[in-house]
Amino acid sequence: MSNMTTEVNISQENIVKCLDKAVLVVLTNISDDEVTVADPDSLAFFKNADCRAAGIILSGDILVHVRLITPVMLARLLASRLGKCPPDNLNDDDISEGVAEIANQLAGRLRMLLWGQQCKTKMSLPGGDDPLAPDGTKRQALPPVNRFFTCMENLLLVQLVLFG
Amino acid sequence: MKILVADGSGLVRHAIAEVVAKIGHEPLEAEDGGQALSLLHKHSGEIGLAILDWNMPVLNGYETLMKIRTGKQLEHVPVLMATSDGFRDDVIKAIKAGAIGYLVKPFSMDELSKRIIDILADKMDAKDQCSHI
Repeated sequence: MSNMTTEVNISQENIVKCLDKAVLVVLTNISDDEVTVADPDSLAFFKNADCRAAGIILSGDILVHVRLITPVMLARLLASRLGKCPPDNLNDDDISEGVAEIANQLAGRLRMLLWGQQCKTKMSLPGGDDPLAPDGTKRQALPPVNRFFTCMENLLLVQLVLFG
Repeated sequence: MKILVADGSGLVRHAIAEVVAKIGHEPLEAEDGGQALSLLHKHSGEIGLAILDWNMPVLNGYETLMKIRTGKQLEHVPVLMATSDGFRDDVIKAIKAGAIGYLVKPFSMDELSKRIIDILADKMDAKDQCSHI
């Protein structure tokens, strides 16, 4: 993992630690199940799986795009927990909306943890596009950091893209 | 009593509305801050509580709270904020602006129903005390 340091002196490693903590807390609360960090070499699974994704941008002292990518089966289960309704009652829109709300909650928790490290950010609404620099030009994205987790016996991916 | 539930997520909004109905109140659902304000003005005399998500389209929860608190018509409506970050400065900002409390997402429905019941009971007590003066 790169030891890149941002202007506020928070390392990418620390941001990822905060992200892991946020994912474990939020997903454990939503799923009411044990959530664990999974094998870091799980990307191949997501190349073939039917997935839903949602992203949130945190901007301020750092600029970061947090994306939640989950197989449809797990997205349906999590959305049903969020909506307190049976999984079979949910349509495609409900499932996508559920993933967006979970991304919102993850990013919110991450924002709080970053603030504890003196790194202040604001949060976009779910589903934001690639962030733009204040002058309107696209900033250079660092290679994405992929974090894999197991939740309700399914894999999910949380991707963190930091912009320099 | 009518309770306004404003949340950008339909799933979360429906789940909260179900809790409200389960404890014997009528939920009014809004998907953004603009709709929330319209419903509050339309039903101003009947609303016992407004639950506002912080991160909503059009007007966020804090902006909606500020609009509620700047008019005479809605100043009596208690506001409970729901936030995904529980960030201390935001919470203080909301309480200073007149919110009665906050819930950090994800919250349990038991926790939510307890908060609603407590807030409405406090509101009734305050009303009783005023009527005895």
